[in-house]
Amino acid sequence: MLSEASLAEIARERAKYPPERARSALLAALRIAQAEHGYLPETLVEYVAGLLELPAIQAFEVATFYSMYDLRPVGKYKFCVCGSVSCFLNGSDGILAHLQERLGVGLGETTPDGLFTIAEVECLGACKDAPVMQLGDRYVETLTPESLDVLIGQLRGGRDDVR
Amino acid sequence: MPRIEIDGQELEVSAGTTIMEAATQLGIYIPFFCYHPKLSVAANCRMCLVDVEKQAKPLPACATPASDGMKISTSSRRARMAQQGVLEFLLINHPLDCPICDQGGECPLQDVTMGYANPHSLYTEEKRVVEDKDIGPLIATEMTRCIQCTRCVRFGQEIGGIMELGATGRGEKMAIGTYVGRAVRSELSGNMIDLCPVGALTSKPFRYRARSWELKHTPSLCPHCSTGCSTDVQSLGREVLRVTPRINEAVNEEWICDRGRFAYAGLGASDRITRPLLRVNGRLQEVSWAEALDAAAAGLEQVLAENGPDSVSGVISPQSTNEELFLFQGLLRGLGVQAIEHRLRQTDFRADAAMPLYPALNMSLEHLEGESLVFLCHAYPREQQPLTNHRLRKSVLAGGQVWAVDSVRREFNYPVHGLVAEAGQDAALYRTLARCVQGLAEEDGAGLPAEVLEAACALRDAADPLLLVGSGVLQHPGAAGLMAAIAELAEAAGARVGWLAEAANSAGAWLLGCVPGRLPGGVPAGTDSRPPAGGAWDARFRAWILMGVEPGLDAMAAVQARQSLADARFVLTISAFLGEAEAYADVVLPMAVWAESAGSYFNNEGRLQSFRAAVKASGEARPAWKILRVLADHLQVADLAFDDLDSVRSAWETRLGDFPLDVPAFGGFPEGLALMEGAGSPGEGCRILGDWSIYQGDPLVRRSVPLQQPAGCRLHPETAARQGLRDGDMVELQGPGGQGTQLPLALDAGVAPGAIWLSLGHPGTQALGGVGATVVLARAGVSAGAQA
Amino acid sequence: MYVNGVTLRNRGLPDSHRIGVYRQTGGYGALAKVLQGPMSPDQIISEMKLSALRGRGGAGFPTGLKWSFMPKGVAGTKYLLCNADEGEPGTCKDRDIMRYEPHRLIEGMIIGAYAMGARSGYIYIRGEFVEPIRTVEAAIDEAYAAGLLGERILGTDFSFDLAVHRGAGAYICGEETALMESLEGKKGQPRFKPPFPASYGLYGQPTTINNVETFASVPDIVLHGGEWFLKLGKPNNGGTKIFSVTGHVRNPGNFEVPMGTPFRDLLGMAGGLHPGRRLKAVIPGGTSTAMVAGDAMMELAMDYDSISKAGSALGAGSVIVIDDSVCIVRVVERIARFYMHESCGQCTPCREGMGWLWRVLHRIENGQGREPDLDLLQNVGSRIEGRTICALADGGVAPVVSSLRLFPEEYEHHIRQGSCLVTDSRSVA
Ligand SMILES: Cc1cc2nc3c(=O)[nH]c(=O)nc-3n(C[C@H](O)[C@H](O)[C@H](O)COP(=O)(O)O)c2cc1C
Ligand code: SF4
Ligand code: FES
Repeated sequence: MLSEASLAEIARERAKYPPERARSALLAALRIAQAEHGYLPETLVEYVAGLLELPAIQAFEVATFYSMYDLRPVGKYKFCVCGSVSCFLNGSDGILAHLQERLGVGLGETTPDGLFTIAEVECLGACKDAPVMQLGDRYVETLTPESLDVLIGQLRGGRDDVR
Repeated sequence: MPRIEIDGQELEVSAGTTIMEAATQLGIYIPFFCYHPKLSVAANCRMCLVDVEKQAKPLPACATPASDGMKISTSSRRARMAQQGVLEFLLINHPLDCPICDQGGECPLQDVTMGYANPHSLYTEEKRVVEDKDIGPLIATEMTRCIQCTRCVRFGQEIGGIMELGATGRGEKMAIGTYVGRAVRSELSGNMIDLCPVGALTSKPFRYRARSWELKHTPSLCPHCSTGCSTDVQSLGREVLRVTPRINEAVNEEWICDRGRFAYAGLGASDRITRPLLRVNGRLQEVSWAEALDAAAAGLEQVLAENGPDSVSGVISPQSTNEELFLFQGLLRGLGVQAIEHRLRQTDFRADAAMPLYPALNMSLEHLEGESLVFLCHAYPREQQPLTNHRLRKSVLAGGQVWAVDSVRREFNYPVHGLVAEAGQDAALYRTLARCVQGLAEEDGAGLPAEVLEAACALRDAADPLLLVGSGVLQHPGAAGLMAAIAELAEAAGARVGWLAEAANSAGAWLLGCVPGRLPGGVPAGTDSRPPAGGAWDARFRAWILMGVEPGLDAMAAVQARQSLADARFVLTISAFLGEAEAYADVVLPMAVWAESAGSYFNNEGRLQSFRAAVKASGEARPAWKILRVLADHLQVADLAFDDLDSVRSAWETRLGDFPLDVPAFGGFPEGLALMEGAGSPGEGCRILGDWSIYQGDPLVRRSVPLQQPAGCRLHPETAARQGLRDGDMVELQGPGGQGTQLPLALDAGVAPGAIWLSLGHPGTQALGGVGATVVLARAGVSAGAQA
Repeated sequence: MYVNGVTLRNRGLPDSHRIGVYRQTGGYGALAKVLQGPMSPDQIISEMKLSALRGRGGAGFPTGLKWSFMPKGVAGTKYLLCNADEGEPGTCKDRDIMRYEPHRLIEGMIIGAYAMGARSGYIYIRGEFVEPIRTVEAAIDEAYAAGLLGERILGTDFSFDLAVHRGAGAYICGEETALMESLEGKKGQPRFKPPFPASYGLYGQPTTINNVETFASVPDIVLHGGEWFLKLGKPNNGGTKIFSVTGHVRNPGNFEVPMGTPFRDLLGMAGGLHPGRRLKAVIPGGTSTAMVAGDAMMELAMDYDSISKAGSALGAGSVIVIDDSVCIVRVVERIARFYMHESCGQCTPCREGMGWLWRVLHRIENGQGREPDLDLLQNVGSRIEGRTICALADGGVAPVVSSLRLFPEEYEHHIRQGSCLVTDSRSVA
């Protein structure tokens, strides 16, 4: 179910921990699996558990505990907008409202073209740059409706290197 | 040794004792939910908060170690406030459905609520509802009631040894469940029902059958394996509605397996016999006891008169009580009959002389926990003796090692080193091991598989290894050779040997003389009383007395048994269920089942335990001991005219006399015993391996619908490939006699190439010829399971 | 004033995250001093004690003392962990250290490992911090390449391995024992203590854990002495500290200033309030600390002891500034949502209580409050506090209870008028 590259990456993660502590690599293995498949279908969670010789339910416990795992399909770009207090004080509600209006979908939903998902998340640890969101591997900071519009345009245009 | 004070009482405790344990010692009750003395401490429910002097916060009694000088109050205002506060939190999302909850009346949450709750809840928000999942036929879930104490999850990880339930999600979304609603498979799963302090996990077969306070409790014993767990049989009127464990630290601690818990569901089987039956014009008809007894006596007397006592065979279930066993052999021997047997699954009796006084564990169950190296010899205690297995599991968790030598790789619930014999080479494997341990094979060690060498080294280096002989040895077509090889290995390794007795009262059957050639107490029965080659089903027999057995399903030589019984002049069946007897019995006498009867068993340790009837017998069924006694009367066998069970017991006790609990595991083997293995290559076919699965092994459990699992077969992937078969295929199997059956196939690299593993005890598999026979396979489509 | 002089000293330099730049500015000098000086582990620990460095992760526990708890001569590996899970609303300092000064953190950990005899270490970084993770991982590679990590560091007998462990989204993993569980591949559920990590930590082995900023302070303490560091700050509150000033300020940011700096000055550095706004309240140490009224805050100095005297806590130095444009009930409702969402779920009072608090606040906020609700909030809060395994629940109660005390009129307005005092008074004005 996973590519050679993903398996190799999991093996590298596993090597960080004592040999009898394969379970330590579970968080990483789930992340790597999710990166390859876009989300974590149940069969994939079980497969990952098998890789590390763990009971499936143990992997499932972890996959449902941490908020960064998606157990359902999400869009190519998942806008994780922080709604915690510092971002809230700096207008995160407005940012979320703007996104929903702009993309025509609600919180937790994905646009029909499969490009965008909007999610509200708790504190991202970048409060001085509020309002912020996490977008894949990066943070987009001091969001404004205007900066978002530009970003959405660029992403629609296929540019996913934009900051 | 810290000295502490709890509620004004002083106490000295050993270091590491928790406040909860100390309070228990003083008999002081602290409310709790997540705490359980047999599980790890989670300290998550927070119900057990107590007030400790000089501590800023209340502390959880279950997790806080007592330290010197601690002054603890379990019911000060501060402690009460804390407990009340926690309880309110537990209740805000707990449904108010006690009136329809099966836990009602035996619910710790209900009890603690009575004692500790603030009567006026301040909670007015909406209550949480948790989606239910079907986790199989045994455990009913009502997850909205769950209080997230995680006892069930910890049980699976720590006691059951397979983690099936988990707590997924976090915060208030945390919920207990299996992996995406899968069924729970652990053979110990029912214990989670007892552990759940609320009605989240309840017994599915018991669901809505009764309110707990209406039930009558009768202390009892589990009749399903040689561990002899203590149980509580709960009944309403004539019906057994539930079986739960009773605490008995020396035997089952506080657990029982699902077989012991749910087998009772078979009591209501539709073929339960409640009146005597007599074959008239080829058909069984209900008759009075008097008629039936007359007919039984007449039938037997006729065969005895015409064919002599050597033409009669008596077969009794090893689940029978000591009293029944004693009377059975007394009756038959009184008639001059020598062929008395309880070993339905054995076919090779050449080494009977080497059998011990009784199949003794030769140690206490508790001591098993301390073993450092155990070799299981063709034993699968996980299914055969689940709570004995639990002791072995503990030994492994404590750092011990368990090796399993077998014809197949079995799945244990703890790490086990497996050693699988090549098909038919079981005795040879023990021999090789023995040679290896002695160092004879050092030069040719190079040619041996690494795990054989490793096993031999483990045995050689162990200070005091233990070999446990399992039922797979006796079930083997070359049982005698296998035993001799194991004896050799024990000698070579300087190992102690214990037997894992096959059935609930195998020990009693041996001790009380239900074997050919041995009288009660193991006294030799005189010369030629050895079993004939065909065992209890030998062609020389013309009449049978069967008690509590279904040879067509229980016997290894089921094909032969069915044939012999069909051809018999006379068959008397004493049984609770009609089943196959319909086909061959001339007289059927309805006997009470274990829950309706009283008696005693010897467990695997040689521990004598007794039980009494929990419910009245169904219809006209009578306790078996009474039936035997009356039969003796009818057949004019002297000395068996006992008035009550106690006098039967004192009679056998006198006959048996004192016997040591620790007995030599093997006596002398006959000279020149052939291994009787590798009886030629199975050619095109596959050699049968197999065992009765946990829920198939006796007439009662196989009638318990919620426990039933379909029969199947397993092949090594290579064997399957060679035969053009795939996982999930339906396979047509042809036995030597041409009988065919279809079974779904699963691939399993733990089955030796060239062999096929069958789940025995099903009508289809029993028709194929038993372990060691050869079957021919052909693909017959795709199994229903694989289609879905 | 010694501003931005310790853990973020190089932030302004180009490529400050590279080992070369770090070395050019004296980096790894402290490690050399320790290993080649040599300094004994005990000497290091006594300098740490002298420095009065207190843990920067929130609890403010004296670092030198913590290091001295690590048992000596035990079997098996001892572990050193860095807590980079930074997730409490208002906190955003560790991210900058990792982005700009990863080697300072690594050097601090190596010195700590040497002082405590730890053979192996992990930096637990929250999963969302992908860029900081990459920066730290690259820095670890550089350090290995330079012989500063791994076997026989700088040619001595001392060896130490270090790797990054990525979180996956759970604030609770910042709690030190939850972090260890998470590192073991489990759900991040805090462990009951005792036993404490110094005897039973990661994989059941002796373990010490410190915050990123704590470790990043170590090289300078070793280089210049504990006394020097102490004097940067105040007695019992040694050194400088990064304050993340966020919320309603014109120039939010991380300001590393001496302990004891007046709040007034800090607010100034952050550009002050927006024009025309009045300071209503400040949460001085992240959302787990009690709110302080604006006026009172203006008189306070930013150090552990002063803030705790005012009934709150310095926490991780996460200063959230709230002006009069926002309703306190809304702010607190938002904070309560965080704790409900982040509760791990194991302890009853937290699992059940956090949602209860939020639901009541949510009702009040939406104009469906009832007269007894304020007592109820107090009551529920008091049943949660001090009754759980970890401090998350206490942290969730603090802002609720403190705001009830400071701003009862805003709550009452919501309940009685069914509307918000702030928006109402705005419309009146
Ligand atoms: C709920 C909770 C969350 C925490 N989150 C963090 C965190 O993100 N980073 C951190 O360094 N410490 C956090 N802590 C504090 C740690 O438990 C621990 O005290 C700290 O890492 C010790 O390091 P220090 O002594 O250097 O401060 C948290 C504590 C609690 C109770
Ligand atoms: S199901 Fe029962 S045992 Fe399991 S966590 Fe819930 S309350 Fe506890
Ligand atoms: S019994 Fe102690 S916390 Fe649950």
